[in-house]
Amino acid sequence: MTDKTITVKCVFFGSAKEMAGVGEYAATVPEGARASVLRKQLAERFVILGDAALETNIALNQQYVAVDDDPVLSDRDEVAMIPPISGG
Amino acid sequence: MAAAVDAAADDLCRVQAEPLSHDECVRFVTRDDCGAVATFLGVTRDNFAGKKVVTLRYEAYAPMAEAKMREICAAAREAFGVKRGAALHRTGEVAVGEASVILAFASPHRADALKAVAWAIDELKAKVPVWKQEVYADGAPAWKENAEFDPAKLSEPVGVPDDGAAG
Repeated sequence: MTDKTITVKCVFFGSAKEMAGVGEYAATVPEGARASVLRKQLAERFVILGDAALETNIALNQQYVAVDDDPVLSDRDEVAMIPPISGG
Repeated sequence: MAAAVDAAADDLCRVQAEPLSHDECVRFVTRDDCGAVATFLGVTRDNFAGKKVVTLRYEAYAPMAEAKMREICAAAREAFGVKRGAALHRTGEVAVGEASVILAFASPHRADALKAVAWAIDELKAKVPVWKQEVYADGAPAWKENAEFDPAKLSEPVGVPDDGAAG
């Protein structure tokens, strides 16, 4: 089991950004980690997000992730927290 | 011969902080071979659920929002046969009476452009990563959620349903 880690850039918007208090966060996760691992880390780092960290839609490199998908992350990926949309 | 043209690259899709220009959208989509230009403007309304609204504040995941608007214009071309599209979304404060979003399509005959605009604003409200906060005369601001938004369907490709909506 390697100790290698990767860095993932997390971006927050709307209510998620307001709750987290930041717009961006550089997360370090183990190489080979899935999005669910990142979500748990965000839930721990930003306690006030609560269940939102685990349940909010996300986008990986600007592609929405299906709710039943749990993709493996790569170094320098960008993961966006996508709260319920309200454009227009 | 000429390289294949990416038709979708001919559409104007932009997120901007500056006030939106309806005129820019109309001038952009208007073509000699199109007899119809249809447009939609989403404008800040002064009330919601009995409360007085002072302004709306918009945030966008700008590069992805522009990409999604481009997908919407490309889907409109395929489904409705429109020849050119424009989609502008504003960020920051959008005061009562000002436009937060403008859509425009041009088609040879009017039925297609009108259908395209109606479909496109619904799809934008469902899929484009933009968020708004309603700021009231009294009380704390509130983040809104569009009725069109469905978390289970967010990752489905942008497109027109096969039920004849494409006419």
